[in-house]
Parts: sequence; structure tokens; C-alpha cells
Amino acid sequence: MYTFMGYPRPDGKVGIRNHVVIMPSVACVNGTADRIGKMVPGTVPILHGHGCGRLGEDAEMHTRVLANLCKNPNVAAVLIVGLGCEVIKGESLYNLVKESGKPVEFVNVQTDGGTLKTAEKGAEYARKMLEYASSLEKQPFGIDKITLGLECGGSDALSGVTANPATGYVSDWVIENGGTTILTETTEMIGTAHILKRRAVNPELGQEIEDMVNRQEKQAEKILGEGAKAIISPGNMDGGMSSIREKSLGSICKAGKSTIQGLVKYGEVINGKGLYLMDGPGYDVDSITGEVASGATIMIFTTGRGNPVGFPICPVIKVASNSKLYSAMEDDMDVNAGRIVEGVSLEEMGEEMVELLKQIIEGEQTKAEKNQQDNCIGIYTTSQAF
Amino acid sequence: MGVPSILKINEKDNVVIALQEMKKGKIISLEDGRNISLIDDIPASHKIVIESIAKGEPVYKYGEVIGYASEELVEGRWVHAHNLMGSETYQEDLKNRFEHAREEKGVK
Repeated sequence: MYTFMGYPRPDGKVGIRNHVVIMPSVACVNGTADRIGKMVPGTVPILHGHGCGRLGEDAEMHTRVLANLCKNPNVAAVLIVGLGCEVIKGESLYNLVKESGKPVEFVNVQTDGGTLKTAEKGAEYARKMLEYASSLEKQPFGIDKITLGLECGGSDALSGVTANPATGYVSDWVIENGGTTILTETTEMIGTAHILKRRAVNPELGQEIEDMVNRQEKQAEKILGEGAKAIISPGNMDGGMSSIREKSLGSICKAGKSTIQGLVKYGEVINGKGLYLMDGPGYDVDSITGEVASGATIMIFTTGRGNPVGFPICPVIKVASNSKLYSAMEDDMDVNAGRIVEGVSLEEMGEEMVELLKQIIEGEQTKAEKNQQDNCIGIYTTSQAF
Repeated sequence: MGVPSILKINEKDNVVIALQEMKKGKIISLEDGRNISLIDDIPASHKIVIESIAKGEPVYKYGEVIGYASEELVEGRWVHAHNLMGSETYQEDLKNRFEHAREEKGVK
């Protein structure tokens, strides 16, 4: 049975990276978090645009996402940087992240003497956390400890023919070996609700899935009206996608043939095994953020047009759907699935991708990690800020 | 034999994908032995009709309906948003089938 060396966390989960995260509770203290990151090289400040200005469902969702990003198994230790007057209080995040059992500390700009003094205090903590992280020893684990996130961005007509089916092969492999996979981008399920419903493990879940997709469709119509066709971007259309249904069919084949075991909200932690759906947007950056908050420790991102974006605390494997893209952006692409239309069979490509997945799990860096194209997160919102 | 220039994904499909940009007049060879002459320029990754599709009839890709022909689509025609209609949503699919059935029966 395949095993890899990974980092065991106090809550029983396993990381394939070992990051010390500096998490600002609100955008207003991004500067302080960034400063600490520069004072203590090797730590990962996760700068974002949220933490205040919204209440209700969005505040709840953002709190959940920020806390769950910190709880992700690829994170060894966390320093929370708060402000004092923000909606998502630094202290609330601190308490939530503490539940994971990993080392967490908290500094607060308005009560710790301003940005510079807070940065000094935070840097002290961050240095100790780096020492702690380096002291951790990897242990052998199986694929049942892996959560694979699936994403497609900048798709073309070949995405659904090469990169996505090959990704589906890998997703099925992970699940056969006891792991978890996440399929999201609800807008890209529009038109396929009946297919996904069929694949649910029980009829109740099937109905939940159908309801989720229909809700998303109504939302799209409400916001975009006749322009709901805008769900296909100009790039998609140039690449040969003629309808949302066509795009969706090509998108869901990333999740292979496995039975769907459950459905979670955006950024909600998945504790079960098997294929899960996460309700979320098609917009790449927000989508990846949600999946990592849900627990993804590794991602496969297929692209036909060439999206290089990675993620701060999770390796993102880039799969080009066509050879033209692979040559045009070889520095940023990890795999050329375009070879499927040049004679390589789906199985061969799938096996190649499984081998690459193992290498990345074992510590080899993806192109996005090597090129540092992974310093950006985005959080989905449903309301305007006030 | 060389690199394949078109790809058919599912047996049920009535379109294939052009793997390279192709010009009007080019002859493509299908797996079933038929040859088709392109009657449009086809951009790379776009779809070509391989079996005539009457107006209102389904276009199949992945073995599933991706839309309906908004005009008669003959073999060798380029299929894209301009001649593919009413399939953005599953509800639209059902509506279209109903409309098509009404038209067939001459019901207003």
C-alpha cells in the first residue's frame, strides 16, 4: 500500500506542508501581518480583503473560512493579528483555531501599542513557531489522510476532453485508496443536476444537490438576467464552449465516476471520506480558498487558457488541456494533458498524474510554489459591504 | 497515420471537435469511414457537425444534449453559440422539448 511521509497534527489530520501562518482578522491590519512576515522570513502572511463591513451570513461565512484556513492540516502553527474594532474579532478567530490543538497566538494592534510594537510582539511568537515547526517529524501515512481539491479555470473545449477526464482518473484513484476529493464551482454544475443527483449515495443527498444547483441557477438569472450566458466567459467562448450545459458537462468529469458522499457549505470542513461537493462560485481564487478552508491539502487545477495562480498554504498542480498552452506557459504548467489527443491514452495520462500527485505529496514543489505565484486568496461574498 | 485532427468523445455524439484550426473545403475522415467536406472555417477546439441535425433537434456531446439546432445544421457546418440554442439551463431544455413538440403537432 502506498504511504507518504506527512506531518501529523494534534487533531489527527495530516499535512503535506508545514506552514506557520500569520492571519490578520481584518484587512486593516494586513500591513502588520505583512511586516511580521518580512521580519520572520519563512512564515506565510495570508493577506485578504475582509474581516469587517459585512454582517449576518457573510460575516459568519468569512469567520468560518478564515478560521478553517488556519485549521488546514498543512498549517503547523498560527499567529492571529487583530485590530480591536473589527466585526470578525481576532480573539474569535484565536478561540476557533485553538480547537485544532495546534499552537496559536494572538496580538492586537489597538491594545498592543500600534502596528510597530504589535509587529515586534508578533515576530517574537512567529520565530518560536518556526522553531516548533522545524522540530516536527514526519511520519508514514496512507492516502486516506489526503484531501484533494478539484478546480478548473480558463477552460476551453479541450478541458472537458483531456485535462478534466484525466483529473477524474486521479480523483477516482484517491477515493479508491480511502481519501477525500472535493468538487465545487456550483455554477459549472448548471445543466447537470440530474446527472449528479443520480450519483448521490442516497436520494436525500440527491435532492439536496439538485436544490443547490437550481438555487445557483436562479441566483445567476437574478443577477445576470438574460446575460446569465455570461457564466461562460469570453475566454471560454473563444475556446469553443457554446453553452453552459456543454461547459458543465466538461467540468464535472473532473470528479471521475465516484459516488457523491456529501455536500458542504463554502469553506465548511469535510470530515468524511470519498467525493464531496462544496457549494461555491466558479471564480477560481474564491473557489480554491473555499476548498482549502474545507480541508484540501493538495489541489489539481485544469486550465485551457492558462491560469497560473496557486495558493499560499496548499500546492496547486496545474494541468494544461492542450499542448499549445503547455508550450506557451511551460514555466507555469505541471502537466500537459493535451497529449491525450496526440495518442496518449486517458489511462496513461491518469497514471502519470497519479505519480506526480505522489511526488508533490512527498514534498516536490509545484510550478506555482516554485514561481511564488501563490500569494493570493479571495473569499466569496453574497452581499455588498456597507 | 499521423496526429488525429478531430476527436469524437462519445459514440452518441453528432459533433466532433476540431483539434486544429481548419479551413472551409478541408476533407475530414471519420472513424466510420465517411469523409466530410467542411462548409465553414472551424476555429481550433470548436465543433463540427458529422450527422445532419434538423432545426430544433438535439446536439450531442459527451453523450448528452448540449443544446438544440436553431437552424438546419448540415454535415461539415461549424456549431457554436450562433446556431445552438436554448440549453443554458435544464429548465430551458424541458421548455424547448415542449415547444418543439407543439410545433411538430402544429399547435400554436
